[in-house]
Amino acid sequence: MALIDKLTAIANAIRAKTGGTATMTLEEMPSEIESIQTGITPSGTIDITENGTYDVTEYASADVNVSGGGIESGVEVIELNSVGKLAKLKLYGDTIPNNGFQYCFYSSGVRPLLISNEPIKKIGGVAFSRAYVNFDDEFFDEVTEIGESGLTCFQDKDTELTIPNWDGRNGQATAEESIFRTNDYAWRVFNLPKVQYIGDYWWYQSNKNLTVQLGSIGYPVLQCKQRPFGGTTGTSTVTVYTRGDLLDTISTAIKNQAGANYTFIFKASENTTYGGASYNAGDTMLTISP
Amino acid sequence: MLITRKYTYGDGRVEYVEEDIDIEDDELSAEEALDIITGGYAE
Repeated sequence: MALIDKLTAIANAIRAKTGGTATMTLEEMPSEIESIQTGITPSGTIDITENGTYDVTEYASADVNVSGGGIESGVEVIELNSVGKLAKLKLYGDTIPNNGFQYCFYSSGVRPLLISNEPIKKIGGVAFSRAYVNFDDEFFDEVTEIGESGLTCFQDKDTELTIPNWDGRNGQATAEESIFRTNDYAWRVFNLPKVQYIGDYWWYQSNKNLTVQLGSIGYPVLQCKQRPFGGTTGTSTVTVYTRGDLLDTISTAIKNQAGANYTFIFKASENTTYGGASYNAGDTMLTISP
Repeated sequence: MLITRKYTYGDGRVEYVEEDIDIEDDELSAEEALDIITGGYAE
């Protein structure tokens, strides 16, 4: 190759990198070469939706949306009190397993407040039995299953308990027993508007003055096992929503062995008839009182 | 123990019914029941 051809080849290579088109002298070539920019100019956005390793050299930005991760289940300590004892715990996962908090903090002098990272759906058997815990205001909002003796605990934060979406069962055909069978919590008012299945011994031998609502308009109590208020004392009022065709069966079961100072009010869960009389939803069909 | 409960029906009728509210002698107390129940769930 002649020298002029070699110089032309060099100039062509330079122009290929600079994008230039003009001719250049041999003296101009060094400065042209020095002006050549190396590397890549990043541009655009890469979308990342899964864990992994990505070459982002060419991209100006990354849009990361990887689902999952973090803590799936367990307990996180959120707060300690002034003497270093547990004051607040965050629960991960939507299920409190059987025995989950059984006897936790028993007689320890603390009652940690339990909050949940995601709505709790299921409370297992004896999950909070003999536990010294309190529950935050939203804890029971989406609970739909509660196992045997699940709430026989020592909470003292609230006097009123509302479980708005629970039908009384534990994912089975009938309700389990002894759900609230203890005098050790501060709950005195129980709002259970969607409970339709009542189990054995739910408030058995309670010695407190209770106010209980079971069912509501559109949610008739359909089944009641034996003695939910058996052996009770105290002065209490229990309001039960049910249908006319179920009233005799439900009333017989629910008042079985209940204390002498208990009042049971049976209201129509829908337009219904009982004893030959017609009742609108919400009407009182029967009151059993001292 | 026998007690008398008053039944007031929505149509105005009133009845008085005598009932026995004694629990069986062998029924467990709440404490005893919880001990058995929690033991049954022990893992």
